[in-house]
Amino acid sequence: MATIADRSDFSLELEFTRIYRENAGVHPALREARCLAWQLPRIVLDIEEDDLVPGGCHYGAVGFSSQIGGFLYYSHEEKIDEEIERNQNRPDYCRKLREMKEFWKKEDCKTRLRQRYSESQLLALPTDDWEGEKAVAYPLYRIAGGILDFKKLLTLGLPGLYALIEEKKQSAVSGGGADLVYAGMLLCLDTLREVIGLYRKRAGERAKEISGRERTLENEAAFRRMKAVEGAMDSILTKRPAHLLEAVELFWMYVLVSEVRNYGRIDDYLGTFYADDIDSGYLTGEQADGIVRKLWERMAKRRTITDGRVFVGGRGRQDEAKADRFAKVCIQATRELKNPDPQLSLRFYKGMDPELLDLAYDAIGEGCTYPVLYNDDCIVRDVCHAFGLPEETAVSYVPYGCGEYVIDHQSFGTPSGVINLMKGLELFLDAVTESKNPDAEYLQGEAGKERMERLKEAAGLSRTAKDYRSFDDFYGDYRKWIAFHIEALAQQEKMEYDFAGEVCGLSWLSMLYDDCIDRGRGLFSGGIRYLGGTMESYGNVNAADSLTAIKKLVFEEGKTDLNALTAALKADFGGDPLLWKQAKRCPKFGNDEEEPDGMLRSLHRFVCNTAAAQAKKVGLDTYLTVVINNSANTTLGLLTGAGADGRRAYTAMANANSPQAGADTKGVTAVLNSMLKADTDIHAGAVQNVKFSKDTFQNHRDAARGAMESYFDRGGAQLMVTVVGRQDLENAMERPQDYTGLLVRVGGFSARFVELSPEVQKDILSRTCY
Amino acid sequence: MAETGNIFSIQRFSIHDGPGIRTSIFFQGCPLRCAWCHNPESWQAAGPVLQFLKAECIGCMACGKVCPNGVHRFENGVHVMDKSRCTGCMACADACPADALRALGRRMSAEQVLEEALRDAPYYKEEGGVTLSGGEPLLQAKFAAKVLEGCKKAGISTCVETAGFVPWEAFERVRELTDLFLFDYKLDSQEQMDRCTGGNRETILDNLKKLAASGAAIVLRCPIVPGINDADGHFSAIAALAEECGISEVELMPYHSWGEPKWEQVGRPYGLSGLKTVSEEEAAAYRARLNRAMELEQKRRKQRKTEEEWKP
Repeated sequence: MATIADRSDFSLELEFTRIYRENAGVHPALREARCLAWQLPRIVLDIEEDDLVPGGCHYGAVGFSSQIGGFLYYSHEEKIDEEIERNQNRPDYCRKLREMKEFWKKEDCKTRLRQRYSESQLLALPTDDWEGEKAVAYPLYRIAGGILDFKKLLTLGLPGLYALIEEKKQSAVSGGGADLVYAGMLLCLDTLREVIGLYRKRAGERAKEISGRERTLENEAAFRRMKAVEGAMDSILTKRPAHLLEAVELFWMYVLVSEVRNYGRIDDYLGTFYADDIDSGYLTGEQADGIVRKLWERMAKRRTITDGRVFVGGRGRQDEAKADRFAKVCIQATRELKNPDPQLSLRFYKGMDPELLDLAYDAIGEGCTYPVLYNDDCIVRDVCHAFGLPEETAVSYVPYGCGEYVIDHQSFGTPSGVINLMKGLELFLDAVTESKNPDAEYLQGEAGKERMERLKEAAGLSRTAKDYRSFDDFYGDYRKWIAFHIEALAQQEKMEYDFAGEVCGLSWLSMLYDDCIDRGRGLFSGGIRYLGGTMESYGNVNAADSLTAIKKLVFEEGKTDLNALTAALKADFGGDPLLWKQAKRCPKFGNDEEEPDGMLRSLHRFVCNTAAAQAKKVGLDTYLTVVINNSANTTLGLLTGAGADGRRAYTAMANANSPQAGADTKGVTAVLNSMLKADTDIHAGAVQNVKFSKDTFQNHRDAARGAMESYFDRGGAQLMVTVVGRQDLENAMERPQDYTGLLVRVGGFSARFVELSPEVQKDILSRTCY
Repeated sequence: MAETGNIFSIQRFSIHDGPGIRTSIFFQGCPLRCAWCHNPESWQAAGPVLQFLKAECIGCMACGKVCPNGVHRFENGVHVMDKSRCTGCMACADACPADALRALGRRMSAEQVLEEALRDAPYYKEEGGVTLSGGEPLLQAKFAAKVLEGCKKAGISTCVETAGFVPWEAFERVRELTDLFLFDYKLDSQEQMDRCTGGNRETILDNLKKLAASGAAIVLRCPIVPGINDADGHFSAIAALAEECGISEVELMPYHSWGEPKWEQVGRPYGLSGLKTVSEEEAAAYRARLNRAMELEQKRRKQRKTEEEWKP
């Protein structure tokens, strides 16, 4: 990754450290702005010839970042060590690096935040390494998920925003703090100007360079692109954007400096530029669509994986007709490029332009998996309830990242805590049975034993397995155990915000968040309107299915007891294949059956309500659960032992609010019915994944659509639809256990794909019909 | 006592057995023995059918230990079953840790079937609904009627898929409760039927004609099996029958071999082993031949009509 600045050594990091130290006594907003004034121009990536929307960042080993580079003021020691290793022949340089490393050992924000943890937090959150170490709950260190007011930015332009803050600064009382907050903001805008200027210059230089080459169609196009970028950058330095390309460039430059990884309601803030340019004849439709495609390519290059959300459609957009026109182009761009980024999502409601949904289903049918579908008619009501907000505010909900709702440029809900309910169940069984060796380092050995005792006491567990007379006794204690961990996570969330408010101003985010400029305060220093937090909950479905199995096998049928079951789970069912089969045969979520679905609903309610109840205790406006979609179900599954639901040790867990792979044996309507049973109005977002075969979706579109429409009509909030093709069948041949629900769909025929012989499976595979 | 029946499978989001989104209820028991049958587990009229998935068997012999009748033996490490001794107690299926032995089919009350079918009621809308399939659902006509009656009461549209080899009384029981019959027509002569399916062709045709005459909505469903009934004459016969009965929709069901593994699983030898699944191109050609035959039949009818009108 080539930055514009020379990064052949660590002068970026050394000078950053010097500035940071020099500004030790300065107001946090100003200190941050000064550090960023040095850092940002040196981390931005150079323009590429195929860019129309340039810009990326490559963070240093030391620096300031809200999440990509590290947590606020951060330092990556291992990278400094590598640099020292590479430069053994420069003793003076190495000495400076060592000194810098030592300095950041104490100053690194993650370390400083962790030092503030209470004893019970340290007990509940023994490690930060959620990808490598085994535990029930983990803190995350980041300020993630800001959704900025890009409409304000594009309406005011850089000069307008500057003037607005300048005016506020003039009227602020000197020395009252607000004046320094504004000074920090203005300095940040100067830095943004510098970055835009850099790209203008580089685009001009590239254009000149290209013009010296042989005259080919390709070179001509590249030349025109570079000139267009140069012109647009030049314009936005002094004027508010008047055309689509200028708006796109300013938007992306701000994305770059602010580090936001989710882009909010793009059709609302770019739709007018798009429509006006075409209607006025400034751009042809083809040219305007080309700009959107180039923006999509840039977003794809950023590869956020779990972020990159772009929203179109839905209630509450200012100029709906123009926004809808833009939304259609966005769907088209996703269909053409078929990249994982951006994660295009569609909000829809009854009465919206029906063509948008038609296009969405076409895109899904082509295997895009996008747009993800969000049902406004349900979610606006849910957000009112979960966030305690009036409808006129709730219509501004925007899901970011993996699907966490926030209120567009009004609220924050950074997910800074992770809980694994399935690992929680595993370690709970260790806590109450005769199990000797919990599969988590912090609970092993003598110190671990002692720690387990303290944990049990802190969680209020006084009974052992043989004391449980009923499943309800057992389940009650499991909930206490989980509640204790949730409390620690909620405390951490508030501490993280408070800490951020103390050490920095987060001016980029603050300038485009409601109230911060008016109040003269940084986002987390009293600037934000609604301060919320979210907790990522994983293993929900596996934990619920395991509880169902425990209820059945231990408490109802007496096929095993808790001690024997725990021993079998520790052995990954190795010594007891019959118990494994019985565990697998227990009813599972996703089959539209009351017992397992009811268990999921109960566990879901408990987790969501317990989290929500923490908000008041820790001083947040909301603290809500999210049951979301990313690869953490796999990462955490690999750290989690076998489950009473029959899931083998160290394998992926079910994704979000979707059945465990292979557990749904009754087809998509049963899955949808099951999903409808978990409340949607007590959390900040849950993801539901469904699969259709390509044949069903393409040749029986009405049926597929009918199924989804019925789900949405009955209160379904969200769906992520995957249309599976040949690849899925091939996977089914290799891993039949994950595909027991895959039916071969031919008239009058009843068979599961995985139960057929390999020859027949191959035959089916060679056809489109299944 | 509540009406009960034997059901071997219930398939939801069924989109190939009648219009719209449907739930297909597969009834156990069939009076025919079609050589190409793709649901051979449906033949046994009552009691669970023991299914054996050879590939899953780990050779632990747990089945042999619990079977009171000596059905399961291991010869040179190979699991051998003597099905004639099986009484259907399913102790082996319970004991099998590898899930290689499974019990297919269960006795259900009409209420239980309806409860399952009603779960998808929100998806059916006007077009979709419930399809009784099998096996031959009309072998359990009284039970079928009970299920259909429940559907009608709940405002759900109904289909019955039948091969027609049942007494006419069975049709009488369900006729008023069925919105659409998916009626199989397989072969053109009794001799062919004796060879390939069993059953009495005359009974089937009588039932079909009576049913058509009664005004029931019917779709003819015709399995086309290469080498057995894919000659031109068969397409003409289908067209003529459709014409005679006033049936406008004919659905061809080109042969697929996907049911073959199920024969082995329920311990029956498959006679058509090696016969390949009809390709999409061949299937399209079948449909084209049928369409030609139907056009020809229509022309003939018009001609006949004109001739009749000319008669003094």
